[in-house]
Amino acid sequence: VKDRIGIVGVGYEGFRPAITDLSARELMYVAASKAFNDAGVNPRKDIGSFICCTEDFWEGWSITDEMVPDQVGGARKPLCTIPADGIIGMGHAVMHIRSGIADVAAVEAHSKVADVLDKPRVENLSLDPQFHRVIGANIDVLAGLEMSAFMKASGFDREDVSRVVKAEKERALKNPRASYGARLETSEIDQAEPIADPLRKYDHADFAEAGIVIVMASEKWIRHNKREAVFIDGLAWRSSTPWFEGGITETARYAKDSFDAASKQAGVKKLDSFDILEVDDTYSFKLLQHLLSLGIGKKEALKMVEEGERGLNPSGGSLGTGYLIEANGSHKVLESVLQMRGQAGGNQLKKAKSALAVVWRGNPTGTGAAIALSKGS
Amino acid sequence: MKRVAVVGAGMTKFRRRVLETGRELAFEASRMALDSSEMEIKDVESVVLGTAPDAFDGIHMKGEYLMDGAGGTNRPYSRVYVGGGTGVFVPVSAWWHVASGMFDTCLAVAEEKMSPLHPHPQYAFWSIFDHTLERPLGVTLLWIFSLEMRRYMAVHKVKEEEIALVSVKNKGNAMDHPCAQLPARITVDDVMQSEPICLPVKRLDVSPTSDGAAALMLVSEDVVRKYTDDPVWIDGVGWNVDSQYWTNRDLFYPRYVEQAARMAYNMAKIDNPKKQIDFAEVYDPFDYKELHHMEGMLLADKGEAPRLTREGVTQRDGDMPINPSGGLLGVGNPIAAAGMMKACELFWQLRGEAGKRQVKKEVHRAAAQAWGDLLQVGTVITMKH
Repeated sequence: VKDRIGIVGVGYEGFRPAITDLSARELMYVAASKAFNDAGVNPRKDIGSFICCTEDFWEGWSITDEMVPDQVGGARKPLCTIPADGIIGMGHAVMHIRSGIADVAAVEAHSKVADVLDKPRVENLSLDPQFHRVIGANIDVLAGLEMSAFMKASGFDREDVSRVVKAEKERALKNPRASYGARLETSEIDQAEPIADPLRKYDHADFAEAGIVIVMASEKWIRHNKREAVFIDGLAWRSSTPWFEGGITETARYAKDSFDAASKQAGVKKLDSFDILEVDDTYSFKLLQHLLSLGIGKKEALKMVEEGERGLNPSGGSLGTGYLIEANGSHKVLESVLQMRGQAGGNQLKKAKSALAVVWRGNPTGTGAAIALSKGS
Repeated sequence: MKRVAVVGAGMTKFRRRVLETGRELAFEASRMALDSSEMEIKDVESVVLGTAPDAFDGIHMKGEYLMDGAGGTNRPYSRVYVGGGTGVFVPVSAWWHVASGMFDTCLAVAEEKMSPLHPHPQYAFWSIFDHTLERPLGVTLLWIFSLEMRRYMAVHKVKEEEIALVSVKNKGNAMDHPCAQLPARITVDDVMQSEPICLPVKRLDVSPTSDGAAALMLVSEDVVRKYTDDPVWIDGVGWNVDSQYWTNRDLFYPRYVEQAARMAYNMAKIDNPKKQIDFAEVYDPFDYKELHHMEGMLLADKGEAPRLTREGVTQRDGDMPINPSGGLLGVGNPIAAAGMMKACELFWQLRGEAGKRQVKKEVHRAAAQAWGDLLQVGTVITMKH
C-alpha cells in the first residue's frame, strides 16, 4: 500500500462463549471506548469515517447500521456497513483515508451470536434457494464434502487433521482471549461425534462472542500527532466462485489471490518475512488448505501447525479462541497488534515485528482476505 | 486522489414481480453497463454491490449470493449497505475504490428483488425497528412516514394538494422512461381520492415496491481515454448517518441529508447549489420526501419546495428540474436499484442521452441523493460534464 496507513488504536471486549451482561450495542460501546482511548482520539472530533462489519440475520435486525452510530460516536458522521469480514472493512477504511475522505477511520466488528437461538437455521439461509437448500444441504455438509475432497487431493489423512485441532486448542490454553483451549488426544478428536463425515465435532470452530474496534490513520496524521502505530503494508480481498460443484479443493483461490496481492503491495516475497501468521482455521482442514494456498509444502505445513513454527496462530486460531463471525479477521489483526506491542499475554511470542493474517468468510462463500502488518517506526 | 469518471450505465426494467433471480437481474444490469462502456469483464478490476435488507429475499449474506451475477468472481468484490440510502452509496463506494488509487476500474451494481417476500415486502420493514422500544408497538414504515409528512405539513403550513403535485409530476415524467413500472398521467384529485394507507399518506403518495437492478462503470483519470471521449466526472460524494433514535429529533427537516450534501458540495467546490446544480434526482419514495429532500439538499430554502413545485420550477422544462427520470414514484422503487437508477439518470442526462426525458435546458452539473434507515441516512453524489 502506498501512502502508508497505520493502526493507532485497538479496543476489545468479551472473547467468551456468551457475554451475558452486555447487549450488542453495549458491547460495541465498550470496545469503541477502549479503542478510542487507546488511540487517544475523540470520535466526535477526530474520526472522519466509521465502518461496521455486520450481517443483518446474525443481528436479528434489518439494516443493522441503524443501531451503530450512537454506540461508536458516529452519529451525524459518515458511517456505513460493509457486510463482510473486519479485514475487508479495514480495506474500505484504507480507501477512505487514501481518497481523502478521512484522516482517521474506525472499523467495528463483533459477534453476539449467543443471542441467536437457531444458528444453523440462519447459516442455512445463506445457501442458494434454488440449488442447495432444496436438497437438504447445510453448511457443515458442504464442509464435510470439501474436507473429503481436500483429503483425497492433498493426501492428508484423518489423523493429520486431528493433529491440527490438538495443536490449536493447546496453543489457546495460553491465550487469555481464548474460550476453547483444551488438551485433547488425537484419538478423542478422531472419534468425536460425526457432523458430516469425515467432519467431526472438534473439526468445527465453536462460536464465541466479542466486540473489536480498530482505529486507523494516515501516516501524516500519525507523525503529526506523534502516535505509535502498526502499519498496514498490504491488504487485499478476493472472492473465488461461490459454486461448490467442481473446482480445485487442494488450495483455496481466494486465499492465494488475497495473499499474492497483499504480499505484492507489501513488497514481500516469502512467508519467512513474517514473524506472526494468523491463518484461518474455521474448520480444522481449512488451516492446512490455507497453508498450502500460501505456497507451503504439505510436510512443512503439518510441522508448522504442530510446533507453532513461524509464529503460526499464537492465538490458537478460531478452533481455540472461538468463531467470531465477521470479527474473525479483526481478531487476527488484534492478536497481531497485541503481539507486536508485547501485550498478548501468556501466548506472547519472542519475535513479533511483522504479521500476516488470512481469513475466510466461511461457508457457503468463496471470499477471503489477507493483511500484512509491520511494527511502526 | 485520482479523478473518477463514469463511462457507462445500464438498468433493467423495474417491475412488481420479475421471473429472473436476483443474480440474473444483477447480471443484466452489469452486462448493460459494460456494453455501454465498451468494456469486458476482464477490464473490471473491482466490483462493489449494493442491495437492501436480506429479509426481502430470505437470503443470509445476500451480497455473497449475488456475487457472480455482478461479475465479482475472482476479483475484489464487496457489498456496501446503508438501508434505503444504499443505491446512491454504491457509486459513492465505487468512487473511493478508484479515487484511492487502489483500482483503475470499478463496476458498481445495485440489485433488489422485493417480491419473494409474501404477502408483501412491507413485512421486512418490521425488523428495522428497535426490538425493545418500537417493535412491540406493531409499528410499520408507513406509520413513521405519515408522522414525518404530517410534521412537515404542520411546520410549513403545506396542504396535501401541494404535495400531490409531486406525484403528478413524477409519474408523468416516467411516461418517457422505458424501464418505468408505474408511469401515469394523473391529477391532484386522483391522488387525493386514492386509498388511504396511513393518513395523510394515501396510495398515490407512495412509490411501488419493485424488482430490478442498475449499474454504473467507473474508471480513473489515468485510463478514461481508453474507454470514452465523453466522460462524466464524479466531483463530490457525501454520506451521513444520524442517531438511531428518530423520535428524538424534529422530523420536519432531514439534517443528515444536509450534512451529506455539504460533504459532497465541499468536495465539488459547490458553494451555491441552487445556482451551480442544473438538475437533481432526489429520493422520492413518497411525494412529500421530494420536497423534504430538495430542502435538505439546499436546493430550496426550508418550506420553499412546495412553492417551487407549484410554480413549475421543478418540471423537466423548469429552472431546476427535479427527478426528470420519473423518480421512484414513477419508475419504481426496488430499494437499492432505485437509488442507482438516479445516478444512472445523471449520467444519461449529462451526456445528453436521456432521449425523451432529456431536460430542456443545457446541463453541466447534477446531484443525486438517496435516503434510508430509520429516517436517518443521507447519501449524495454530484457529477459534472
